Amino acid sequence: MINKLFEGELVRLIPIDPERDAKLFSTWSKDSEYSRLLDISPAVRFSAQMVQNWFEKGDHNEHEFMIQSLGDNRMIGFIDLSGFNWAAGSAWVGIGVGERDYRGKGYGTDAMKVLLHYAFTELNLHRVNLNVFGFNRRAIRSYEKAGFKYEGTERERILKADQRWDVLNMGILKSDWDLLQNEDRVEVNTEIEVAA
Amino acid sequence: MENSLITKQLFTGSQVELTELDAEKDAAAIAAWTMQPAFNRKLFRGTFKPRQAAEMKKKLQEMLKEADENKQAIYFAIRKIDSPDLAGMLWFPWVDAQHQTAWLDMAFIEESDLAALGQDTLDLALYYAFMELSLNRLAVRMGADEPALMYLYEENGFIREVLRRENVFNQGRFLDEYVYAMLRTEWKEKQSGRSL
Repeated sequence: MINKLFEGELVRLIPIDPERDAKLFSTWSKDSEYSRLLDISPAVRFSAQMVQNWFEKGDHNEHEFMIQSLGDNRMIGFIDLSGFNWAAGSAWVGIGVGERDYRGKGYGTDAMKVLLHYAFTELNLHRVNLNVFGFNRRAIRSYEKAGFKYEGTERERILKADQRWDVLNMGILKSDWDLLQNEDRVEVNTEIEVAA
Repeated sequence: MENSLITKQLFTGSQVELTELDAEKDAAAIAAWTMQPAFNRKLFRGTFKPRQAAEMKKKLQEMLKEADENKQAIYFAIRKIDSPDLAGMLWFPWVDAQHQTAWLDMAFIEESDLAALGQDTLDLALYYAFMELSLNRLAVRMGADEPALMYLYEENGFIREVLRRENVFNQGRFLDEYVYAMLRTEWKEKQSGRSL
């Protein structure tokens, strides 16, 4: 039986293979929009070899995946869970869609939904956290669609392009996620009744 | 004319002195202190695990070495004036120089010392953060089970920015976690009010 745990409507998540995927990360680092939205650290260029070394000696407490498009099997980005606090059942999620043509089309949202399913049903997490730049409206909308709730704003958290910018905090509890699953089921049932 | 850059004592308040942490001498007191979940959680940011003195000494040595090499964390011991004993700890677990921000943590071994020494310690910490580290923003985080600490920060003008729902687990309960922060402009405004 094929395990569908890591498959959504548009994407599947697969473990990162440093040898296979390092070149993609290196290519994506050329895109300033991608690099600047990804992290608060300064945007830098890195070689495939640097990425490969980084993954191979990396922090094995992280759960990292490539995002693969179901339509054409293309690797379009990555998603990871890190910063686990197992006592509190919490972790932080990071995501980047490196391929420009796949941004704003639901691939990231779908990847996030697949990851949350894994986080809550397999890792037994209680909540998942994320940070997002206040100006990244596209990402905020995507996270809301995946079920994250706004929890506050860190004022003037970053300094870039000679300006200070806010960082939003969002979170989703297992109980939030459970409610969403029930809503999805109700919608599906309604559709069946209408069709009948 | 007096030059405050030279004459201002950064590490000595009216009741406390901020000194270096001494891995050799302070390890036993800190090890005993790690039996308290609130402190343990604050210092190690993970699973609550008490430490014995030798283990704590090694951990302190590692923490101080890393802080010295990476320049991203700064640790102080809090001691009452004219007493060599450890009263508490004040530390900046992450100084983010690029964005001129940092996180601050403060804890006292005796709970009553927060009321007795907390204000004097925080005055030193704020001056050091804004006038020595030249930060634009200083943030703190705490669980909902730390109302006295929350009150101290609120009284000093910290603004509650984020409420992370159920992000702390303590004594069998999930508790909310709060992020408070103060900007340099807010601190300076408060200082000018004080001197009027």
